[in-house]
Amino acid sequence: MAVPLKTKKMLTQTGDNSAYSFRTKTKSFFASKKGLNTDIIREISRQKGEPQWMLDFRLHAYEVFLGKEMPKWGADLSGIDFENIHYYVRPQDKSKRNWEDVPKEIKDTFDKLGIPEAEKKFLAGTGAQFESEMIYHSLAENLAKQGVIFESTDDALKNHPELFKKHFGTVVPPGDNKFSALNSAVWSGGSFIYVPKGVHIELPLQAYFRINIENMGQFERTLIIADEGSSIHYVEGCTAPTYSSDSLHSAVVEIIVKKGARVQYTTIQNWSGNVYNLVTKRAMAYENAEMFWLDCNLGSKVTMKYPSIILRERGAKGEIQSLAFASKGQHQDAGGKVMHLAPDTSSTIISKSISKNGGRSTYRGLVKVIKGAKNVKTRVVCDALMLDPESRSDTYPTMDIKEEDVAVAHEATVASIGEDELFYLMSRGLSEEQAATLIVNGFANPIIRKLPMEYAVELNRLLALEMTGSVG
Amino acid sequence: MSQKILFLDTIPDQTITLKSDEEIFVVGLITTGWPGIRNLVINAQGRGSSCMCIFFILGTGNSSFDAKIQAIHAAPKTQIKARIRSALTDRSSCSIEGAWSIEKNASGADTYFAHHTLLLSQGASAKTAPFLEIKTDDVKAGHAASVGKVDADALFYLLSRGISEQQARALLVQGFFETELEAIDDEEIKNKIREAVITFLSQTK
Amino acid sequence: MAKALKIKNLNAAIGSTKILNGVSLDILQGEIHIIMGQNGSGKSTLLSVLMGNPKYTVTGGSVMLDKKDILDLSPPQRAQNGLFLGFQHPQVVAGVALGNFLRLAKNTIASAQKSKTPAIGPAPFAATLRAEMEKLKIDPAFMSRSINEGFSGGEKKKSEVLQMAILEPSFAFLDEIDSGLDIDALKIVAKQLGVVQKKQGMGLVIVSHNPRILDFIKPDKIHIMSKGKIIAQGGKEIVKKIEKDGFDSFIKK
Repeated sequence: MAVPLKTKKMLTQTGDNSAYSFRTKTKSFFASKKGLNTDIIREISRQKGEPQWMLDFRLHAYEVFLGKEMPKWGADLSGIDFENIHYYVRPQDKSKRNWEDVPKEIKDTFDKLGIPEAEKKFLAGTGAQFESEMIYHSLAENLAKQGVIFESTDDALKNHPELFKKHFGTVVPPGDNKFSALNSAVWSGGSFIYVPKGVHIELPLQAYFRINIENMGQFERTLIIADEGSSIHYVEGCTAPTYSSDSLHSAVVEIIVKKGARVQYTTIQNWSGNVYNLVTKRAMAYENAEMFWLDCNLGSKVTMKYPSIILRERGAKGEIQSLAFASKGQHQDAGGKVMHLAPDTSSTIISKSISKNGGRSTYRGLVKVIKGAKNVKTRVVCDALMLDPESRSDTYPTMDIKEEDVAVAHEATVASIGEDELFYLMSRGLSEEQAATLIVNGFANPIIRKLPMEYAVELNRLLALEMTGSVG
Repeated sequence: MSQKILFLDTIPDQTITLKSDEEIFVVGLITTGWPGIRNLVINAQGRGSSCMCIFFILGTGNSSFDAKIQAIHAAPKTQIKARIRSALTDRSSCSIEGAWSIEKNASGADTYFAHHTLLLSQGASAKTAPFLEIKTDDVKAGHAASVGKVDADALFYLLSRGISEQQARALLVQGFFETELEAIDDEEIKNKIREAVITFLSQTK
Repeated sequence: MAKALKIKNLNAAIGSTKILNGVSLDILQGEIHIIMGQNGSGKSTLLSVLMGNPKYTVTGGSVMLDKKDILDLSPPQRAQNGLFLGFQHPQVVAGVALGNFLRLAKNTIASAQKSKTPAIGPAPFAATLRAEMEKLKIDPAFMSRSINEGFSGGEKKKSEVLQMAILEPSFAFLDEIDSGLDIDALKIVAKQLGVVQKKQGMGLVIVSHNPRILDFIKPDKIHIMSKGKIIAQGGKEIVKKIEKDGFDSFIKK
C-alpha cells in the first residue's frame, strides 16, 4: 500500500523514511564507483550497449564539462562534491511492475478512470525512473497503434536510431552549461516520446522517478518530439527519501514542437531536502506551435531551473507557469526564459513564489525579442508571498528588446499575508493558521488549478501540511 | 513629501546617502547619452528616510543610456521609488538595471521601481532588468516594466477624430510622459520637460 | 443639399476571417438608421471599416460620400470629410487632456474643410465644451483630465456623444451607444442625441443588439444584420416584429 506524501519537516525530524517502503526492497546490481572519469563513462556506454556515436558524444561532453566553470550566479552550489557521487546504478529486476511504489496522485488517476490495480487498455504508458533505469513501463495498445512512441530514452536509442539521432542534443547541446554537459556525459533513463502528425493524446502521459541509494546522482534525459498538428501532455512528479549525504539531480529535457503542435510539460518536484536539483529544460516551437511549461518546485535543498521556450517561427506561442515554495534550508531559484525569434509570436510567464521559515525563493527570467520579430506580445507577472521576517524573496527579470513593433509588459509584487485579510477570515471563525493556509492556497491557486486534478489535490494538501505549525 | 527637487540632466555616477527622516526628490530630464554604464546608488540608511526619482529619457541619434540604479533599504520605514520613462528613436538604446534590495533590518519598507519605454523607430532598442532582493517580510514592494510602440488602438481612436498621424503620435508621446508630471509640483521644471518633449518630437520623423 | 452616404456591396476581413459579406446601405443626412443583430453579426465591424480601422482589410465594394469613395481616405481624412465613430469600447488615453485634444481636433477638421471661421481659442472652446458637458450631465472637471480616464463604461459612452456634439460631423456612427447606460443616463443621452442630430442635420447610424433602444430613439429605417450581411430592412413594421418575436425571427431564412 502506498503511503501518502509526508512533509519534509516530518521526515527530517524523525529520520523516518518508512513512508517510502520501496527503499528497503532495492538491491542494486551494478553501482559504479563514486566519482567520474572516462573509464566510468565507457563502462556506462558498454553496459547499455550503445552505438559508437553515443559514446563519442558522451566523451566529448565530459571534456566540455571539465572545461566549464561553475556558474557565478544563482544559488550556492559549493556543497556539491562531484567525487562523492555514484553516476550510474542499474537495478537487478528489469521492467518489473511495482504497484506499491506508485505515488498516491498517480494511483488516484488510475482510480479516477475506474481502473483497479491491473492495467487496462485506457491506461497511457508510464515509465518510472528507478536507479537510473526505466523499470516500470507499459504502453497502451491504442497509443502504439497510433504510432506513438513512449519508451525509455535508452531503449529509444536502440529501437529508433534515426529518429533519435536526428533530434538528440539539438535543443540543449552539451556546451550549453556545465550541468547539461555533465548530463550529456552520464545520462541514463528518462523518457523518449514521439507523437506522429495529427495525433492527439487525450490522457496525460506520466512518469515519475526517485533517487534511492546514498550519493546517487540522477541524470535522466528526456526527449519529446511532437510532430505537426499533434498534441500531448506529459506529467512528471517525483518523490525522494531522506538520506545523509547530498545528492545531485541534473536532468535535461528537450522538446520539439513542430508546426501546429501543442505540448504541455507539467512537473511537480518534491525532492528531499538534501538534493541539488539543477535542470536544463528547453523547448523549440515552430510555426503556430504552442508550448506550455507548468513547473512546481516544492522540495530539494537547491533547485536551479529555468524552463525555456524558443519561439522560432511565426505564430508560435509560449507559456510558462512556475510555482515555488521555499521552506527552511531551501533555495528555489526558478523562473523561465522566452526568446522571440519570429514575428506574430506571443508569450506569458506567470511566477508565484512562497517563502517561509528562512527559505529563499528566487525568480530569474529572461524575455528576449530580436530585431525583425514584429508584432510580438509578451507578459510577465511575478508575485511573491513572504510568510515571516526570516524568509527571503528575490526577483531578477530581464527584458531585452531590439524590435519596436512589440508590446512587452512586466509586473511584480511582493507581499506578506495582510493583517486585514487575516482578521477578516478569522472574524468568520477560522483560526489564524487556517486563515493563513487559505490565503496561501488562494495565492497559489491560479497555477495549481492548471494541474491534473489528482496532482492539484495532493499539492493543496501538501501546502496545508506545510502551513501547520508555521503560524504563531 | 517636501518638494526640494534635485534636478539632473543625466544619471550620474553617484551615491546618495539618506539620513534619518531625510526626504529627497530627484527629477532627471535626460536627452544626451553617455558611453559605458553609470552607477547611481541610493542608500536609505536613516530610519524614515525617503527618496522619489522620476527620470525622463529622450533618445535620438546613436545615444546610449546605460545605467545601474541601486536602491538599498537599510533602516526601518524607508521609502525608495523610481519611475523611469524613456522614448527612443533613431538608433538610440536604453538599458536600465534596477538593483533594489531590502535588508533584514528594513521592516516597513515601501519600494517601487518602474521603467516604461516607447520605441519610436526601427533601430531603437531597450533592455530593462528590475531586480529585487527582499530579506524581511513587512514590506510593500513592486516593480513594473514595459516596452512597446505607440498603442495602435489609442492611435486609431485619436486619428478618427480628424487629427493627422503626426499630431496623434505626438499627443501619445506627450501623454506618455505627462502621466509622471502629476507628481511634480514645480511648474518651471514641468514646463522644461514638456518643452524638451516637444523638441524631441520635432526631431523624430 | 443633403449629402448621401452610399455603401455598396462592402466586403471586409480581419486576417483571413471574412466578416462583412456584401453590405449595402444608403443613408441621407438627417436620417436616423438603426442596425440590429446578434453578437458576431458584423455590426461593429461595419462601423470600424467605415472609419478605416487598419485591423480590417476591405476586400470588395465601395463607400461613396457624394462623389468620393471614402475607402481611399485615411481615418483622419474621413473625419475631416465629416464622418464620426462613437466607439464600442472607448480608449483611455493617458496623459492627453480631453479639452485640449478636442479643440485640436475641431480646429484641424475646420481647417481641412477650409472653413472661413478662425481657429477657436482655448477660452471660448472651454466655454462651449462646458455647456455641452452640462447637457449630458458630465462633470466639467473631466475637461482637463486624460481622455476617458476615471470613466465608467456608461460615462465613456456619454463622452463619445459629447465628442460628436463638439465635432459636428455630417454622418455619425454610434457603436452600442446604449450599453453600460442605466435608464436615466440613456434618457439623457438619447434626448441630447436627438437635439444635436436635428440641429446639425446629421445622418445617424446606431448599432445595437438590444431592442430597448427603440423606446428611446425613433429611427427612419431599421436594418437587421446577420453573418456579415443585411438580411432585412424596413420601417415601423420591423419594429413591431422585433417587439413581438425578437430579431432572431428574421434569421430563420
